[in-house]
Amino acid sequence: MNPKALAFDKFMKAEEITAFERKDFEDEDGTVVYRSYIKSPLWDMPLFVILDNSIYSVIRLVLGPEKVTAQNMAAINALINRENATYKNYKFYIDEQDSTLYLDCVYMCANDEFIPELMYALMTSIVDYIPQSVGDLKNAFESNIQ
Amino acid sequence: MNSKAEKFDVLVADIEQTGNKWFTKEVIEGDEYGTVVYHGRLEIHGNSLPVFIVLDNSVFSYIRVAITTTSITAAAIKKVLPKLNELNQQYKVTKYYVNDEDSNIYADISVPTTDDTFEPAVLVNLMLEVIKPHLDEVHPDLLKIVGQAK
Repeated sequence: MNPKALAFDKFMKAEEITAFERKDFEDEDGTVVYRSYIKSPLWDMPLFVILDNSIYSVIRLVLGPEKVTAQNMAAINALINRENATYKNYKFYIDEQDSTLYLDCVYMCANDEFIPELMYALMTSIVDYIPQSVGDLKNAFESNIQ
Repeated sequence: MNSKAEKFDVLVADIEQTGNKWFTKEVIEGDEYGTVVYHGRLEIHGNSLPVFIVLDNSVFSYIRVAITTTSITAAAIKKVLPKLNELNQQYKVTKYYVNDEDSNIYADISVPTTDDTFEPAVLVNLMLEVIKPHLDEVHPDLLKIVGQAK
């Protein structure tokens, strides 16, 4: 458990947000992970909010679970670079270990300066991003450029 | 102008009292977000890298560092993208990309904050205590990959 998770729980209760499943890790950082997903025409995209005692809070969206291949890698790399240059607060990357495309949004602040409303606004902006990007994502995943 | 820039000005004035002219301020005239850019430099292994601290009326404040200042070739872009991906996965704070317009590599450090919780010293500390040591470590390798090592 950590102070940011306490504040986030309180916020979600007040706003009657029930979309998240919570899991506590018994680690030294007091990590709490909230899990939900975003529905998209491509597939359901798992969404995680990771809060711990560090100054980093992370929203992680699994954009392409095990969808990166040798065939579509070049197109996905091009898409990643373009989106990373365009969106100030999002970071796209491929994890080659699990062939997955991720989108991270990192919110840096001290425990006592954590604003759950801001965290939630960042998450909402990601939810809004999906419908507008789904065409480009589909093209990249289906591409076959060597 | 915006209220975060007003707070940052106070810090810049304090820094300048010590004789350090680190930042040059640029107000973007007529910008609907009241954007103010502070231009500075980071010295990394003899390279003077341009730094931009961008503050506006949105919650998205950020620091941008130009990793290269001479355009890299198309072949170098292809070579460096996997490395940038690796860095983006490995380090939470920085985001690397190649800008399409000038073919230079940039690192962005996004610092979402409301006007009330904005702490200008946090940005400067982040730059000196997190970004500089990080770039000291990774910058030489990036220059090598794009064929710009001295």
